[in-house]
Amino acid sequence: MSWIYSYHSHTLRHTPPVVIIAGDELKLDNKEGVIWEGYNRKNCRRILVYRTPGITPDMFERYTIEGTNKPFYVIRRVKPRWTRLGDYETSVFLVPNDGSTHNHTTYMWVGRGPFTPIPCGGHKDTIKINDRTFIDRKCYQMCLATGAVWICYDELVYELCWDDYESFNRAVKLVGTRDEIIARALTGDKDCQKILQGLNITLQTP
Amino acid sequence: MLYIIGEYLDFRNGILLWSACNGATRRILKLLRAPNVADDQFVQHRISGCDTPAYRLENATVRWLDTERKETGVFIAAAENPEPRTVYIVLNEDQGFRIIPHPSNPSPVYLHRTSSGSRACSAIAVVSAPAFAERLNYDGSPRDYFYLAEDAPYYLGSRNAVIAKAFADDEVCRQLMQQASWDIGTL
Repeated sequence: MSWIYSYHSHTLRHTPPVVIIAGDELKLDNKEGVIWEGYNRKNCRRILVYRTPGITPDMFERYTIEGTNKPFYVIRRVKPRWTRLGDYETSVFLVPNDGSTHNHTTYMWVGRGPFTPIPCGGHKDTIKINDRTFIDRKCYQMCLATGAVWICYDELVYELCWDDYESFNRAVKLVGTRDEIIARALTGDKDCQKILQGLNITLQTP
Repeated sequence: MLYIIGEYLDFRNGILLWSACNGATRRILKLLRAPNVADDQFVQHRISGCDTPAYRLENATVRWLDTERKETGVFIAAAENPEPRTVYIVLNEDQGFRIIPHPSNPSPVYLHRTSSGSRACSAIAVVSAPAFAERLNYDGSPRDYFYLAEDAPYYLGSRNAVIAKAFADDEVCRQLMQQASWDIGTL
């Protein structure tokens, strides 16, 4: 790992070990270990997700978010490390869990943006990274967070659940369309009202 | 009281009651309801003299979201204390309409959005009563008129029918003729 430290001149930070990557397909067979990349052109932020040599492709369990064709991958016994190089690069590294004490699931939502992550509340500092690279109409974005977080992308809202999900295939779920969220908020649903607040959506009245 | 007038609603799609969009890049107009507004709260109201559908809702209120992303969503929500004024949601997926203020309500339009394509102009509006609605033809000329009153909607007919009734001392038609500023020749 020493080359990473010297190249980026940054301190790598630590988060919990169970990692779930959602939102986009991963390139698990990439020889350089780059399993996801968001990049538009030079002078634009490059966003990279690496699997380090100890993390093999068979450690990625693929699921689909119920009601959609969006994939998510569960990777056990790993933890993320990340670094940001000014305005140029954001890199996340999946490294083997060294056995240290970790309590919560870590999520990465990757893919086309712009999307808006909204912390579900109750936990401070849940969003660790939220970087995007934006050129013309093309946008890639990556968000690294601990649950629970809502991801609002396009017209849909997804939930990166808190640790109490029944099984891994229920860890990421579709909450609903934006219209459904608004309709439920009008019935007094507190979560949906919080999502609207996070999206700065204010309904007009007569 | 809340009235919805102009188009039939589809209760089979859950929260989405009506939508219109005249082209992929055009604004999409939607009428939606909160899940706690049941089908049977929409009471069909027959307007005498025409077959234009209308629905009456009690204990309901209206909210809307009008985004720059070319989308307008009007939401019907249940309310224990709805607005005391009668509010109309006017829908049209033919050639659109204009709202003409009533003398006692100079600013009736809260929201009026259209989705214009090559052959059609759908529209949605949230309007406070009383007001007049003028449905339009393909060339933008007036087709017929409605009186959106405090108690219920009324069909007034074509422009000539309104003028004829105004000359017969119909108060509402006289008010419409005055508000629309029609140029009527006289000796």
